[in-house]
Amino acid sequence: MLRRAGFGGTPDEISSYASLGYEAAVARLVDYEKVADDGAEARVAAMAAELDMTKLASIQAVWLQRMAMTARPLQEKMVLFWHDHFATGNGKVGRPQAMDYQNQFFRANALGSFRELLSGISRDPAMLRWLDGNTNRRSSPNENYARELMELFTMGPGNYTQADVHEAARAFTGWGLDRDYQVTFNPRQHDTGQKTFLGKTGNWDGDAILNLILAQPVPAEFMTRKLFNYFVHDHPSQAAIKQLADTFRQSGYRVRELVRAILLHPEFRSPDAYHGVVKSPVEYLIGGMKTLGINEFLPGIQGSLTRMGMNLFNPPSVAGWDWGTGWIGTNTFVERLNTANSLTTQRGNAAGRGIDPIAIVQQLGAATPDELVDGLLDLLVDGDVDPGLRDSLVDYVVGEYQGAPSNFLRDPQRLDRTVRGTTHLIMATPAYQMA
Amino acid sequence: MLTRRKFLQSGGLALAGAASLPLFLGRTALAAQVAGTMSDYGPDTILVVIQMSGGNDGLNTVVPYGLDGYRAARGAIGIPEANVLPLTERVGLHPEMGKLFERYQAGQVAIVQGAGYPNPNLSHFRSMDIWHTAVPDAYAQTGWLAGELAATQPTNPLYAVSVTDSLIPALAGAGTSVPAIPNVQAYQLRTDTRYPADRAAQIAVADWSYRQDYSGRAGQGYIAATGANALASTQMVQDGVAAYRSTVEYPNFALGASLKSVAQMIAAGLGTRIFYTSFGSFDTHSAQPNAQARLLGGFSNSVDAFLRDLEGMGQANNVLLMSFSEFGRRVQENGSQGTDHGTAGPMFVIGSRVTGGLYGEYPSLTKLDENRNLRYQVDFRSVYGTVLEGWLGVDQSVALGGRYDSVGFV
Repeated sequence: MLRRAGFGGTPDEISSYASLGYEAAVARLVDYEKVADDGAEARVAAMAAELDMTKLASIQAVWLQRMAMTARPLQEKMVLFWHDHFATGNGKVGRPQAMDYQNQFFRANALGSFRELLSGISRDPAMLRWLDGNTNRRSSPNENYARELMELFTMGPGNYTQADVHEAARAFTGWGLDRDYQVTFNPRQHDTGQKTFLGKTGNWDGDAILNLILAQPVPAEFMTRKLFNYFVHDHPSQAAIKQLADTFRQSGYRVRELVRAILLHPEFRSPDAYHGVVKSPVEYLIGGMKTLGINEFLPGIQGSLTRMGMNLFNPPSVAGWDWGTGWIGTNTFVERLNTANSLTTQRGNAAGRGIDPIAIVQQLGAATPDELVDGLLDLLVDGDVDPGLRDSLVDYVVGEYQGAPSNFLRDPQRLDRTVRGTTHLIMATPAYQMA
Repeated sequence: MLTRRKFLQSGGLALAGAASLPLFLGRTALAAQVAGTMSDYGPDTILVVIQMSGGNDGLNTVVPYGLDGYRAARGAIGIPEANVLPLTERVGLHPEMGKLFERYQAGQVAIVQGAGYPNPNLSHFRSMDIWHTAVPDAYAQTGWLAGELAATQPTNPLYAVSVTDSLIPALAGAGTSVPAIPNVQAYQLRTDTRYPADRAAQIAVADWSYRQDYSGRAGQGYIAATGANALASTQMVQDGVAAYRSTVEYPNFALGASLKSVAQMIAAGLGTRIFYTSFGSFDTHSAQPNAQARLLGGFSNSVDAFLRDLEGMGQANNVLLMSFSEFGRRVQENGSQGTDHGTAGPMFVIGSRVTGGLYGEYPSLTKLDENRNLRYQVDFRSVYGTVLEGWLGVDQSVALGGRYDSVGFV
């Protein structure tokens, strides 16, 4: 559950949630306001005080630290969801502070009202720049935001016409940005004429357009399907979607109630869901660090994430990232393996940024090659691999060693080499790529 | 499942390791395995696709400066006639495309005007999907070039390369595994440097594991196939590109860097016949003039540098470039010094073996469709078909689900 509802867990976090029982664990994740998060807040505040927060790299670093440390993992997992859903890129926005402002908006509304999320994002400074809402004027409307609002943010293609795009663009005219990236509204640039949108005619403004969209049945199903794919797996039954979407709509589009229902849905605990979603790069990285007891990020980690295909605050397009097997190309997969190699081979001054082989062996209570492999497989992939792969890893660990198995890990160099190498190899397995 | 060690002991050596694949497959073998495909231009023809992502404004690329309606629609962002690089009395190139203009005059550039498809879709994603699958009227899963791979059945893991940050959907599907190599330098696998002797053992276990059966484990079969290709292709690329020497300076521009990677891989003789590049963003809803000038200048200069590099290595006759964008843009400019989503646009086909010139009619700027967009003149699938059959020498019907008449540029 922590792999899906968060970014994985440390062994301590996992046993803490497990001791609660299932429904109480869901409640702790979903009703996160009740969980104190002082440790992460203090660390993030200290980082923000130290870093130049007008730089994108600083904002990325602070967010990663929050993902790794937060006691409210579901909140942060939803911030990532909204960043992907309302995908905005600093490459065009060119204002890291505006990206940070948007990030904080997502955090404040992570499980809030979808209506308020839409209303807020429609006049969010970074979004106004990203989809040209700031130059959408009465005399000749700019369709960029209106189209993506319907295609990507609420309904999906096939549920509106080009004429609806044009009429919605008219309704959103008049918004702008001043030099300080503050939002402005110029009534003279706002089109007050009659607009016919989704079959209804009136003097609609932007919020009226959002209400007309949310009056349709489509958005609830559209968002339910996307969140189901995010948390459970990518092949939900239509019945499950319909039932969850009804819950969502009846709650008045409260995302908290939809996500709670998804986490409590039988499918979430089904064999199909188990190891059924590909980890995104941040989950691969942060989950690995948590599992292996690493608290410090590697230097240059932003570059690694980018090469893994996830440059935070710069998604590939307004459609966000291509999740699932879309994360896996030869280049991004090589970068996963190279990141795992970095995490498993740090030594000397950088040792705190990588694994501690001696501590791992003690934690696992391993002495023999079999115990080492089984312990690491349990730790990293719940032991969920084919026996042949397990045996091949043992073969690799044993190598040319001919001595007694119980003496195997007594040789410090042998321990160092095989714990690091085996951890790297398990992080390279297909099973480890799955959440 | 057998363990790897038992498998080796049982004599299954031929499949033992992609890491050692280059030792088995020398250049002769690479050439031989693709000899089944042959065009009039020989067995070694190479296609380089250039995707202009975001929807390039065709009207300010191949500028219809002498056609009715252009000036009226483009009062703020039209290209002044004096600046157009004239191809005919009616159309000419954007002023930043001087290098391509010279290549055009040398007969190396074919321009297909008004390329598009029926019932155009104005969504970036759906329209790109249509160009990637070559299926305009249904949702398809297989990229058109993956269909080519299905027809050719190459065994070389580098037969096609996606020179992009993520595998391009045009090369995905049909059970194929195509490497994504945005940059050849970064494309290498690291292992623990303290124990160099352990590297071969680690790679052998990983490679063996990627060749096992993952049925019943969602997603893992695809990951394993990708892993196997990654181990083989990183090794081949690093072995091969070390020999690349070039004095050609590429522009400091995304497409330039991509095409330099392509040149390095061609020089390495890896047997790659399809390269796919992408750059942008051409989504110029606002402040179009500067943005598009930079992109088209970068396109023209990068392609020219690439062609000079190929000429230097004696490969120019083997390479064809084809560019496209998911759609052109609205004829009527908007109020943001930009243009909204449109329909048909020009495609460039470039190379020393191309029959240069203009193909297809320029769409009328006054007889527009119901959304005030251009009506397409040439079905893009006929351009794809011409490239597949005329240049790569493969049956187009597998990739395109039908046969299209040749446009005639090769």
